[in-house]
Amino acid sequence: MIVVKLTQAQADSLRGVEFIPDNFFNPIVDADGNWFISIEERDQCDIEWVKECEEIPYNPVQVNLF
Amino acid sequence: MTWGKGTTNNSIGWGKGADSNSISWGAVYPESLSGDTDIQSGLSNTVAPAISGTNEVGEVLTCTSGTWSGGTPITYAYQWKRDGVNIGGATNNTYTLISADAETDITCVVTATNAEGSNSATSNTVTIAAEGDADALAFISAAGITDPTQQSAVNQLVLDLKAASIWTKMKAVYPFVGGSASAHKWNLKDPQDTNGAYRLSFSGGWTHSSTGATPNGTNATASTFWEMNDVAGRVDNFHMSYYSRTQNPSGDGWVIGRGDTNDGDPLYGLAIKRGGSNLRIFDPANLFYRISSTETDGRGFYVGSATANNARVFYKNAGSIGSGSSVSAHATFTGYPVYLGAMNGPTVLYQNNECGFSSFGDGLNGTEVTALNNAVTTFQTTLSRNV
Repeated sequence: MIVVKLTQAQADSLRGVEFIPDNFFNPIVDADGNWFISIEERDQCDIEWVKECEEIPYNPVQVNLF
Repeated sequence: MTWGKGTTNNSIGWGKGADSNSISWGAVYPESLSGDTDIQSGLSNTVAPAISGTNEVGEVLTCTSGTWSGGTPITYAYQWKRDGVNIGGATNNTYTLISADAETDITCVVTATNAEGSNSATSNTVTIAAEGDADALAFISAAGITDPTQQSAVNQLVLDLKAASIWTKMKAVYPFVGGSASAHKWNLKDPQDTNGAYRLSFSGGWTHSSTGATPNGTNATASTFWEMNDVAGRVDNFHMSYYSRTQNPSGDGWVIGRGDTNDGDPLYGLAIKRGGSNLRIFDPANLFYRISSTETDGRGFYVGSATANNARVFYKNAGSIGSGSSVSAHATFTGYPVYLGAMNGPTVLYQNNECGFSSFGDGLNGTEVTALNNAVTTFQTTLSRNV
């Protein structure tokens, strides 16, 4: 799975911004400490610099539930 | 013998008899004409009155006078009928439909009058649709649902939940109709655009379509804004439901719920785990307490419900797939409202299970879960998206 890498400043600028009606950006950190948003957010928004951001493999934070 | 219309207006003469080979005095009926001629007035209806308008309660119907031949001037009077019975006071060419008209046949009788007399003709029949439930109509208006099938499905869903006496047990019902975030966010139970009405707030990557809403499994959440109320550190009266349209969801599969404040372990929630191997409803205090079941297909309608501390049951398609015993209390906590499409907590857990319906509210017993399952199944079938 691929996600879109952001700098922390970019993540801060997008957090909570509505990219389509009633759907908001949700930048989070992966297991490597990279900020990212999803492909869906990039593809559905109309912010040019977002569309030029680097794609990276998704490396989720592992949670030991039990 | 009945006097009638001749071959020309106001004429009489030899005419068609009782069978095709006979003639009789009195009337000649050109077959293109449907109405009788009133001999005294000479008025004959050549085009029947016609009702137009939307066949729903609250809408206005309009009836034409039809087309008449005969001496002029001609005036027209109208009488609307419900199932063949005059509607009191309904004597204009327009009529506003009221609740009593729902699921009845409406017609309009037009009486044409000239200096010599009068004659009447009846319009086409209009069958009035069942009246929309007020709660359903409020949701349909808020969500901007214009498709008649979707409107009907939502209306029937509300009627079914009310008929089963489980409507009042719902805090939130999310039908996911309309195909967009702006339509999917609304709570059928309280369709207001506020957090307090448990209106969903979508964050991250979601795909919205006519079949439901799909989180992406990486960062998609939908906050319900529901802070479960811990009573003495335990919740004994609640349910959560999720109509799963995905066979093998990714991740840990937590489709709805919230965790605790320490390490994010799920306390209350439903999980439909990847591989269809494990489904869980979590309870407080004991992190290893859960109700599990082995399923080979993640699709279906899942309900986790607690009606008492010692009555905690997990259902799939209304059948019990596991139950649990009493649990002890834990420390109460706040600040992590229940998420839909993910599990909320200090560490959010994501998955990608498409949702076609979800609800939460008071605990439901087995009979009530069956009723909810039936209502949701009917709803999905009407929308041609049942799994």
